[in-house]
Amino acid sequence: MIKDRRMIVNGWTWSSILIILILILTIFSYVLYKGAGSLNLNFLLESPSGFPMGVDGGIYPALIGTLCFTGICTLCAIVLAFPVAIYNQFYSNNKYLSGLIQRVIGVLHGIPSILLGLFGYSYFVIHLKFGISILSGGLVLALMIFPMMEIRFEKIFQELDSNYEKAAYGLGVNRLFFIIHVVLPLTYKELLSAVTLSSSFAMGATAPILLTGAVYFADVPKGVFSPAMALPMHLYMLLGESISSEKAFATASVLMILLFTVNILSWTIVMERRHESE
Amino acid sequence: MKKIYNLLDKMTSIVTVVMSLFTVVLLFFIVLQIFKEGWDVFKEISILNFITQNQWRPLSTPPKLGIKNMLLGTILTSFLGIVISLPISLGASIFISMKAKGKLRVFILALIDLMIGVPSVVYGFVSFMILVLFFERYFNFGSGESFFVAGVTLAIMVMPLMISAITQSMDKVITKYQTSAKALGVSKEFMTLNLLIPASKRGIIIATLLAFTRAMGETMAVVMVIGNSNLKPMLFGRGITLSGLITLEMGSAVLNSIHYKGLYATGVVLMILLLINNMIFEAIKKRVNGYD
Repeated sequence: MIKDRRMIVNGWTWSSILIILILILTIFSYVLYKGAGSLNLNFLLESPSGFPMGVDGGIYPALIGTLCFTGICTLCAIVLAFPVAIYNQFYSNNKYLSGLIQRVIGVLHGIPSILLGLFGYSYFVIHLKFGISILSGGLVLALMIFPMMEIRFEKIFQELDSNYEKAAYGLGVNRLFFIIHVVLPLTYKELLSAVTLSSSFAMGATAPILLTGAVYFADVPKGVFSPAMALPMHLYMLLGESISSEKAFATASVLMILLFTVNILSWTIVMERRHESE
Repeated sequence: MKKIYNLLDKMTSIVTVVMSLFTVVLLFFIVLQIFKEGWDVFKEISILNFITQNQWRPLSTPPKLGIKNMLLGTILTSFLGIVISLPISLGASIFISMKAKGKLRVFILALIDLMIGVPSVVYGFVSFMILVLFFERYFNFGSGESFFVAGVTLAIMVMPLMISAITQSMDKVITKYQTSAKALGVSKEFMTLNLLIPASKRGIIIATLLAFTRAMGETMAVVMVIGNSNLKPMLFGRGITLSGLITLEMGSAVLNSIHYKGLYATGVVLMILLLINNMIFEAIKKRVNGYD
């Protein structure tokens, strides 16, 4: 009886963890293996060409487009998330208000990206007349990732040793001085890693920019009001219009490699920081 | 110097309060904007008809707008996704918090973090290339796209989310009770079944609901593997979901036409579904007492 239970529990946990590991490795190796054949420098630096468009050539405009979307979105998201996190952690003396704000951030975090896309389409694109552009797309992406960023910022501030705060206030240092000279130097690496991780989500998001900023084909964007191509959108198009599965694999591997880079970058930042504090 | 800092401190305090209040306003603004665009449809078609009719022909005269199939499709795909992923995520979380130690644990958690970050188009793409083509080749289906494939795709997508949430609450339970369990000489398996799972019940339910919300709102991965035809939902048949309908037709809808408004109304329905889900979530959070 006891032996049976032991076997069942062990079998269940071992098989589940194996399924997960196999899934992760399959997804990564499958995409990279199939994509490696057509992945080269020309693919990265040429515009799509051929008939139908996308059969030949590369993904240069999509790559640049994705970087533009991510850049605008990261900037706006920081502007939104940072003050909110600072307020909730250091300035708030009203429990109900910070509770409300945390709950609102939670709900915003749960809104599906397609609904944010709908909002962006009717408000940024049509009402504010930004048109289908990098600006509208970037703003919608910012709405998508800023709750994520805020939650991470707040967690970083919370994990800071509370003795610093006590000592600072005991010395009569004012809050801003404390934030600038104590909190930021201690946490800036973790904050940076939170920013890169959150913006990697923006890099792969399709639904929000599908309606507001990304188009199937465009040149390298000239300003914030021009539409642009984006990598995830390009992948969706290559598959959806059944243009070229070879190029689709290559595009997917570029996305995966970008993701890898961002993740490893943020890990090394945090590791270094941990190392220093030890 | 001190005066300047005091002044700047006051200013920062005001700026941060304003930004924080702005997020609250922003949420209401987003919800209101979508409701405003979609609400006109319900003046012509009652909300009951809208969600119980089958036909979606926004361009015919008179236009027929019914989203029953999409609504059922959304619920079915997310339900399938949860049913498939729950046992696996639960098992994996138990493994991570009970058995994995040191470097192995860090490695597994890093892989799971990486899996959370994989874009949904990539999940959809891989699932199309492997599962859909598999069904077409070996089961002689006319088209491999089906609710089943969409459910499996969603299951894979929500698994890492569920694992990281469940692992967090299980870790708390373990640090709390580990010494007592060890002192009583209880085996790890007994502890898993009789302490770990019951005590982290709340965490498990919350993780499941979060995953359900995520699955309902998921767009791209599902659009790529479900076939997108307005049919009655069947496990191995093609279908469509609410978010898929919006994605596919928004580009071709004329501004302020009944089609455009119908799509916003679809968004309203999706939002109401999520609000209901959120309310269940809050109710459960209060009712179920966890020990974590």
